[in-house]
Amino acid sequence: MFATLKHYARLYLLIEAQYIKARMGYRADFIISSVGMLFANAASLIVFWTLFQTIPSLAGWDFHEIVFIYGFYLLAVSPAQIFFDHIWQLRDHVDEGTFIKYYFRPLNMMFYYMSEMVDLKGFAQVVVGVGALAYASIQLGITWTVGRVLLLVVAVFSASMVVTALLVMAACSCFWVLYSFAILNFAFRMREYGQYPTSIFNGLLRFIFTYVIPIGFMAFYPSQLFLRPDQVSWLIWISPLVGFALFALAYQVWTWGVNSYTGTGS
Amino acid sequence: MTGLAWRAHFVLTFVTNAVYLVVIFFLWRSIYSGAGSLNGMTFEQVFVYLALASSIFVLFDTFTEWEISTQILQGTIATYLSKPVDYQLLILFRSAGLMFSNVMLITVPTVVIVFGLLRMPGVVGVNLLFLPVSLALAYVLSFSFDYVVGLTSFYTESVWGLSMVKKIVIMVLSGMLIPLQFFPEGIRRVLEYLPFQAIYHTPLSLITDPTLGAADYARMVGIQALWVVLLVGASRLFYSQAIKAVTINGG
Repeated sequence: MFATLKHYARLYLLIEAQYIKARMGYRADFIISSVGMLFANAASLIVFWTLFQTIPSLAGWDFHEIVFIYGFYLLAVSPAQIFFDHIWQLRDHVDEGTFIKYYFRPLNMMFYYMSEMVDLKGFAQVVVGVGALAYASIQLGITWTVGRVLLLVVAVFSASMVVTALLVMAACSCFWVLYSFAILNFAFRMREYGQYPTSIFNGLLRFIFTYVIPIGFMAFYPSQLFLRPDQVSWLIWISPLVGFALFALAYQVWTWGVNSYTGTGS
Repeated sequence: MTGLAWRAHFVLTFVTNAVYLVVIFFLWRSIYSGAGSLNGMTFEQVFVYLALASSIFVLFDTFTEWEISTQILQGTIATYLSKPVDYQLLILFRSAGLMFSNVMLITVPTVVIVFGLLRMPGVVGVNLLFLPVSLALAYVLSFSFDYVVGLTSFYTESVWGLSMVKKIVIMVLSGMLIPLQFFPEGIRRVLEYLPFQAIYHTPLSLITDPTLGAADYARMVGIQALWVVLLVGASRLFYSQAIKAVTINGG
C-alpha cells in the first residue's frame, strides 16, 4: 500500500514536472490567466464588502465570518480546479474515441487521466483563500493551535473531496448521455453557491443542499468548527467524513463509466 | 437521439438559470430580513433588477472573443479578411444571430417567472419605448468589450485570462451582481462616469425605478449612445493597429 502510494507520488511529480516545463513556454499566458483568476476570486469579496456597507450581518454572520467561509470555500474548490481540471475534456475524449488510450497503461485510470493536466492558475486561488482566512482569523481573534491547524487541514481536504466528487460524477455522465456538458456546467454553477451560508435558504432547499447536493459541506458547515465550535451540532462534526464517502461514490461512478465504455469503433 | 440530447441540453440550461434566480431570491431575502427598503430599493425591485441582469448577461454572452481567437489560431480569419466585408460587422452579426436561441431559452422564461409567476413589480409606461433602444445600445457596448478582448489575441493568443478580467470588471462595476444603489456614495459617483453601468444599470433602472421620468430616460439613453460612439470608435482604432500584427498560422 505504502509502496504503491510512493510509486504514484513519484510518477505524478515526474509527469507534472514535464507538463509545467511545457506550459512555461507560454509564460505570458500563465501570468494573464493567474491575474484573471485573482479577479474572479476578488469579485465575491468586493460584493460581500459592498453588501456589508448596508447590512450588519447576513443570516446572523458578520462580514469577517463571511470572509472566513469564503476563504475556506476557495481552498476547498482549489484541488478540484488544479488537479482535476481534465474533467472538462473527458466528454471530447469519450466522444472522439481518444479515451481508449487510458486503458493501455499499468496505472490507475483515474490517476493517469487526471495527471495529464494541472491547472496552474488554480494556485492563485489558493493564495487568495489563504489570504482571506488569515485576514478573517486576525479580525475574529481566532487562535491557531497545532490541533486547530490539523483540524483545518483535515476539514479542507474533506471539503475539497465533496467538490471534486460532485464535479467528477457530473463529468462522468458523458459515458452515458450526450448532453453531459450541460450537466457539468450545472454542477460547476452549483459549486459557486457553496460560498453562501446554507442557512439563508428555506427548509426544502437547506435539506437539498445538505443531503442531496451537499454543497453545504463545501465551506459553511465545516467553517463552523472554527467560527462557533461551541454551538455546532453533530452534523458539523461528521462533516469531515462526508467528503470521503462522496469521493468513494464518485470513484465508483467513474469505474462504472470506464467499464461500460466501448470506444467508437474506429 | 440527437434531438433528445438537445432538448435535454435546453432544459438543463433553463434549470441552471432558474437555480440562480432561486439563490439570489433567498440571498437577498436574507439581506433584507424584513427591512422594507434599503438604499431606496425594495426587495422586489432588487430581485427584478438582478434577475433581469442575469438574463441580460446570458443573452449578451455569445463567446465573441473566443470566436475571434479561434479564427486566428486556426488561420480561418484569412478568408474573412480577404472579403470586401467589414470584419467588425461580420463578427457583430454572428454574435447577434447567436442571441436568438438565448432569448427563447433564458430571457422569455425569466420574464415569465419574474412578472407572470411571482407577480413582481415593474415600471410600465413611456419607459417601455426607451427600453428596446437602451438594450440595443447596451448590447453594442458589451459586444465592443468582447471584440477588443478578442482582438488582443492578435498579440497574445491567450484569451482566458483577459476574458475573465473583462467579465469580472463588467460584472462588479456595472450593477450586474449588486445594484449600483448599494455602493457607497463616493464609489457610486465614480461608477456613474464609467461605461460599464451603461450596459446593465441603465436598462435595468428603466424597468425598476419608478421615480424616473421621460427626461431622465432620454438623458440616460443619450449617455449610452455617447459611450457606444466612443467605444466603437476606440475598437476600430485598435483593430487598425492590431491587424498589422496578425500572423496567420499556416494555410
